[in-house]
Amino acid sequence: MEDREIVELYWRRDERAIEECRRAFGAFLAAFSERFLDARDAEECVSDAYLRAWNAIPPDRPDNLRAYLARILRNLCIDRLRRARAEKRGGKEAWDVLDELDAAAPDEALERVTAEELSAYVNRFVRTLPRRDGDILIRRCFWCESVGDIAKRYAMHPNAVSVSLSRSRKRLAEYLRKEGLLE
Amino acid sequence: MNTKLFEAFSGLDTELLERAERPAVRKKRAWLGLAAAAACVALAVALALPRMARDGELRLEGPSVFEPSPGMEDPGIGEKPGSHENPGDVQVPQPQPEGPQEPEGPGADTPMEYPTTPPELLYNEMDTAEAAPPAWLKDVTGRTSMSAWQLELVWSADCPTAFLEEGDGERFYYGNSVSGAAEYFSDGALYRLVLTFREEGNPVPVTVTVSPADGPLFTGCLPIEDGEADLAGFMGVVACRYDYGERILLAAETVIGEARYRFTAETPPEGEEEARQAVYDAVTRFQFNIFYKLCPRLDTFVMGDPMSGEPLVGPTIRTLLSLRLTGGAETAEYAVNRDGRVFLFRGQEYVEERLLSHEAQMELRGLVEDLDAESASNACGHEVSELTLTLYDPWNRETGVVSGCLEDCEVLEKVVEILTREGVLDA
Repeated sequence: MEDREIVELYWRRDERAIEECRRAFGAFLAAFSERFLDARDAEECVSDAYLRAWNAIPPDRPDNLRAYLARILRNLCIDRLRRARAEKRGGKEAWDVLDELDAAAPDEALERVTAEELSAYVNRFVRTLPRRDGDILIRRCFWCESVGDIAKRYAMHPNAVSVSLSRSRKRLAEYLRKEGLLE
Repeated sequence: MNTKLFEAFSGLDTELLERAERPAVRKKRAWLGLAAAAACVALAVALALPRMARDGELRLEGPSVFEPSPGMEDPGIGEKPGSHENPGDVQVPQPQPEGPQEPEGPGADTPMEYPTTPPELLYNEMDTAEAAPPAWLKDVTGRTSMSAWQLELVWSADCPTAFLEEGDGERFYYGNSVSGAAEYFSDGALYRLVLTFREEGNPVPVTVTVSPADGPLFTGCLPIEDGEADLAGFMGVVACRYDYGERILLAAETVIGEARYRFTAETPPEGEEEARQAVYDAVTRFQFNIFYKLCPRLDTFVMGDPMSGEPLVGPTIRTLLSLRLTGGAETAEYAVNRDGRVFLFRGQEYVEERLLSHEAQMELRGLVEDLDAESASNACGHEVSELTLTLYDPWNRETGVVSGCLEDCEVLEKVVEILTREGVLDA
């Protein structure tokens, strides 16, 4: 089923929408959330994501359902991650990404801006990067893909991916500093 | 737990997420990014192809380098270019445009002809002076075959090192990440890009010809308005855009030494914008890669694997060796490249870069290249302070692993001694 057909089911409040989402994206969402959390928490987040989507569509009408669900799921995972981390559970790829970004621009230095406002800057920043570096950064920081998997995807040496990421994070910090967001 | 920046990535535009999802590389053809970056076409053809630039017009005349000579065989490996009029048979899949098919794409039977109408020069006027290769570039040869390509550059020690200061100071990283730069568009459309480079401050029209042995050159387009800034320094870029209504052709050429590099790009109008970004990456990488290669610290550099015909990693700076030290839960890896740069990684995190002295580079290179890796494997099984030395061939493939404790392995001991003396490892 096409995305727009599934979205139409949502709009008609037809519960088959959730089933179709599970069929189309279930495996992907499960794998994505397990980059953040252990299997138990990951499964719960995926279920919550379906529920959130049910409550948000309508009025939302996403063009890309996969990205839409991924976004919801990511935010849910972040919330759950806080709890898991406090309890020292897990040890997933997302934690490493968190640490990497925190090293580049810690929360304490980003006091003047909310995460939502920061998103707009991040979007603009990613567009300033060369295409490949931008995609690598997205795959790491949004999708929390491991360096090894990114390297395989782009047929690069993992060290080269690390260097690209390091450079992009440095540039991001400079960009935020230039925009007056980073103290 | 600090999550603000991490959370901010949740707000990435769908368009960017979709972009990052697109298959960027077909591993089988990953080398094409490098073929696009630097494959040498037959030199004789390159020299035989006159180029005129008058009053803002760029007109390319002469036989197309994509036109195979009658009865031309695969030139094979080891044959010097110039023994053929044209490079190896270049089978380029043809796009299926709906409108008039002009200009024709290259193929075994279809010669590619350059357009005869004056192009629209988007920026930079072509200098009419004859191209003169840099004095420090001593020799460039190239070979192509049906399944691979090869480029060999030799340069003298008086290569201006100022080139290494171009860009944002991170030039080296681009060289490292050039592998896998090829990108295809899923509709199968063919794009060819030809670029003309000009040395900044000293107009030397150079021609870049890229001709992979098979398959399309590479896809994408140069964002003309930005290209010059990024390709300034050693090479400038003049891109010509031919608008034929149904098709857009971008054309330019570059010569390095006696090697002529040509890219051509042809696209339906709706594909132009997308194509620009992709080729911009490829071209930028090519430029960094090429001028980075022209470094006096490097040896003669051979790209490609003509013997096996396997897809090539490409002309990145080759890793000489990597040294992994594990002590308890900590792992530090030092990747020593053939130009003497050493990268330190802790886990998967890149930490810093150092540069070895020329003497240390020569010592390490001699040590590693003399080592018979197959017979040198020596695992002592110790868990603490275990050293693993991985050796690489010029195509960045692992050729051997030596592991063990310092006391067990003379080679390891020597490598550590050199790196310690250079301040890379703590004494």
